[in-house]
Amino acid sequence: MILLCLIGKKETYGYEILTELNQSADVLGYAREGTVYPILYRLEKAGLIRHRLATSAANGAAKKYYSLTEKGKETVEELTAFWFSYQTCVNGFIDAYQQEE
Amino acid sequence: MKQEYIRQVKKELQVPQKVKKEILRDLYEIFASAQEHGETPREVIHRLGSPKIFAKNAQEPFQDILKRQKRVLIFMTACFLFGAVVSIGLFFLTRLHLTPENVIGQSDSMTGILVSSSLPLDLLWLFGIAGCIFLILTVLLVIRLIRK
Repeated sequence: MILLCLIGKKETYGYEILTELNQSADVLGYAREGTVYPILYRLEKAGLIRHRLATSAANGAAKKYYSLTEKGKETVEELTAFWFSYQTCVNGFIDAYQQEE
Repeated sequence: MKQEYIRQVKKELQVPQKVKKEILRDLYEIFASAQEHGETPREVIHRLGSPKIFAKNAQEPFQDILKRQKRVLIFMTACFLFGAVVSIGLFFLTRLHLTPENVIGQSDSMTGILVSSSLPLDLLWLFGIAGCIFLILTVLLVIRLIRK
């Protein structure tokens, strides 16, 4: 879901995804290519993201730039709605627990 | 060092050729991007882990394709094997059957022998050749299956 949001924010490529994850999601642990790429493959296979190959200005090496598909955008909407209701639900239980303490 | 790592990953990957090419392309990009940001190949390899683990993780999402492909291959092998057995069986059956029938049956008329022997001979060889082709195909498929 984090990956979908990252890719939805702007078209991005592998290394940039890694850096962003390591900068702002350190609770999840250290992000590595070995874990990120399999997720990208899965998302792409499920038709949620797509890529285009483009050569970078720096050294002419081709990079895969990922973006969300229509289905991907819909999925982000659905997941967001689910996430918020989940959050409210869990918060409710935590509040009740803390009041008892 | 980088080339050696990529070579080993290539060796470990057991996915269709198309997927393999894609994963290796991405691996090249990983090294290139990291280098752009000042990382050495050694650092990247350290982060990626062993080639075996990287390959295993990378091909995980494609296991279903591999399974489907294997099932199709097994089915085709079974079909060809069946074809081979039937054709070769018929080949020998017609051969065993023909010679005595001609000798006993139509000994008085020449044309009779000619007609009845020319047609089965074609069929006979047809079965023989088909059987051989099926057998070769079966062997090829079995080799492919074992290599997978």
